[in-house]
Amino acid sequence: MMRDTLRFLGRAFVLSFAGGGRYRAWMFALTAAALLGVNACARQWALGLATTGLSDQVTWGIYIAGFALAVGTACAAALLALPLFFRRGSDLLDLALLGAALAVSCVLAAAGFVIADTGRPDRVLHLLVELPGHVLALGVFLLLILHVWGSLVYCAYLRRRPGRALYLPFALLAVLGAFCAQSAASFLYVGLGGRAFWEEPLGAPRFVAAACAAAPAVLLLTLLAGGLPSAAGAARERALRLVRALLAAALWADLLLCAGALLLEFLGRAAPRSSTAYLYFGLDGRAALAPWIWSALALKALAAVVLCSRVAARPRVLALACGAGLAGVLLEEAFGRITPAFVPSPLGEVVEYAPTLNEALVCLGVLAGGLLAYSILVRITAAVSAGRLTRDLPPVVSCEKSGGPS
Amino acid sequence: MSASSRRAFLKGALGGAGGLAAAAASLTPLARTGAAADLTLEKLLQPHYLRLTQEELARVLARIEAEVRERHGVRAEVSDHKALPGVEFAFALDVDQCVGCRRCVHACAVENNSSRAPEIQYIRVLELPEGSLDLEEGDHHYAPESLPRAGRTYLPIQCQQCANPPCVGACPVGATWQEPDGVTVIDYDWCIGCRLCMAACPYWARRFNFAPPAVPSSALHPRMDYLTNRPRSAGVVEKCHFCLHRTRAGLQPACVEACPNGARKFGNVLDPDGELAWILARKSVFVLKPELGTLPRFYYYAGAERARAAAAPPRLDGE
Repeated sequence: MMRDTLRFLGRAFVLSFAGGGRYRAWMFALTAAALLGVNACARQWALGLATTGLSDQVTWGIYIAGFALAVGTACAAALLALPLFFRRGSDLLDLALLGAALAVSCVLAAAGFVIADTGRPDRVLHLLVELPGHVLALGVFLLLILHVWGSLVYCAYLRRRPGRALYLPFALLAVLGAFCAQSAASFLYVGLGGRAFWEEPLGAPRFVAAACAAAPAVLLLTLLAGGLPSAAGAARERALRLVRALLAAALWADLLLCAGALLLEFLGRAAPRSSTAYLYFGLDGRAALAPWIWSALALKALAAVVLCSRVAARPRVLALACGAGLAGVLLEEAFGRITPAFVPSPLGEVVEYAPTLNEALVCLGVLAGGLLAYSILVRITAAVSAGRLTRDLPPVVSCEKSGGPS
Repeated sequence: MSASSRRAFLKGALGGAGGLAAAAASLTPLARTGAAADLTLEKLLQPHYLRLTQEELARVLARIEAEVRERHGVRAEVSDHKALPGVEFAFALDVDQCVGCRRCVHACAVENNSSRAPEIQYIRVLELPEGSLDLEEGDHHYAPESLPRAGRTYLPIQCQQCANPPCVGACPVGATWQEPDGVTVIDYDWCIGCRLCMAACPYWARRFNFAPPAVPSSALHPRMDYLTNRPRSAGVVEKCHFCLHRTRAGLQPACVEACPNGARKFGNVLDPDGELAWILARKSVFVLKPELGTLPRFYYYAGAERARAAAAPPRLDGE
């Protein structure tokens, strides 16, 4: 038993390094990006957060935005994908495994963003001393999903039917945990008084909608890139249709809520709040965030419309729409959710924020790290469920057509 | 071993070695600046200030003194003044007396060994149209030929030492707390630099050390306290602490001493014969952003008679 497990881990490890040209190019690019990020991070730790575009006025930027989005996406992936396990005889189990893999990698990326954001990463363990419950809960959430993913993949490796008791209770717990974490993440900033921008009734649901769009967008791109060759034919079609519907629904919900918030802000109030006015139209002639937010909204609207039209039947159009939706979500989360709350400052000073190259590289590195973990998990999932990685067979790694998400 | 598997092994080994070398190379900035060398096990394991035993505290204070001596060649005395019983500090500022000269700002930086480059200032003085207290109308960077300008009000803002401080609740590691005498302090050695407290503060009172703070050795103020003006490191938050190293020893804060017009009044609000009690009883004082429920211990008032005569009460910030 123990030897089998170790052998499985060893083979999975080897498998994550070997593959076709496309896969290797993808992994090489991710590794290079991750190392660039490590290098930028080392520079930041040596010179301080002065290497970022942050200031005393705008204390949070794309790191915290990335953290929030990563937590949101992890929860959304768990919430949307894990319930697929609950249906007996579903042919979408692979999709659920993909969702679990995404959740795990997003938690890792979230941890990366937190560490990148702290001024004293050497003291990050103080969180463990002061908030043992929170850290433990996050660890348990991660372990639950890893367990569900791992037990199913390992059973498939052994060509054994998994007992439902082995994973179902844990999947249920993970879904509950994801629900709690999603709620906590969406209300994270609401409690910080004195920042009028976050006293926004639609802020939390908009965040949830955005996160629920990000997760299916990544899953859809993975499917389109051939990340799950096992799910062929009808099963693949069904998986694609489901994920596409989820993405479209989340995008439309997001846009609708955004329209509601804009109406409320600019027509429902005597005067819009300064931070919101700054975000969309600028303040005192300064409008660094306006181009970002409008491009984000335009990309999301474009994706939402295309996803509901017939042209999306063509895989290339579908991938483009999906990429546009994901880019829209990323842009809005990066510039439209956190930073505007700091402009103007509580004392009325307008200081703008733009991330520096070093800051962007750190983010790139964290994202690349998360994608590396995701690609490896997807590769193992795909190989096992296609029967290419089993106990009885040596892994076939050389010439099959496969790739990670791209 | 066949030729092809040997080739695969060599390729793998080469790839692995290359990857490791790239990973090591990416970390060079840390080695070059010696940032990592400053970390000692003792510092990494140092407990929270409130959990330090007497002996541990003495060791920590001695370590800080040694560091100051090594880095600046200055013989500093690092002490730890505790809150006195029956004392609750409060501040009152006569807006009519303030001429906006910013002497308090600079005296504060000198007293508190704040970084000069980049400059960290605990006090921000706003120039407002006379009679207005709408902070968004304020000019932060006013620089006229002579001060005060006619038709302008000057409003210095620093940590308001709230009785209900949002920053303390926001800190995820308890590195900032309210002392028994009402002053919110920071353990610079426990702060992880997440800046949640800065996001939570409605008065923009907190400052972050984005870069290693630079104070010229010749300007270093050698009388230091653990919780106040000892040298800080990069990556931690700091703010006004009512000069506890002075005020707990019976002195006035540096900003009060620096004010040429006597606009600043500081004292123990629990002392019935004190100046603060007198002002609170007789002047119509106001606080900033009262609607937030933070209960500041920093009161403003218009001391001149003409302000009393003016019909309109002070307009409070609308946000």
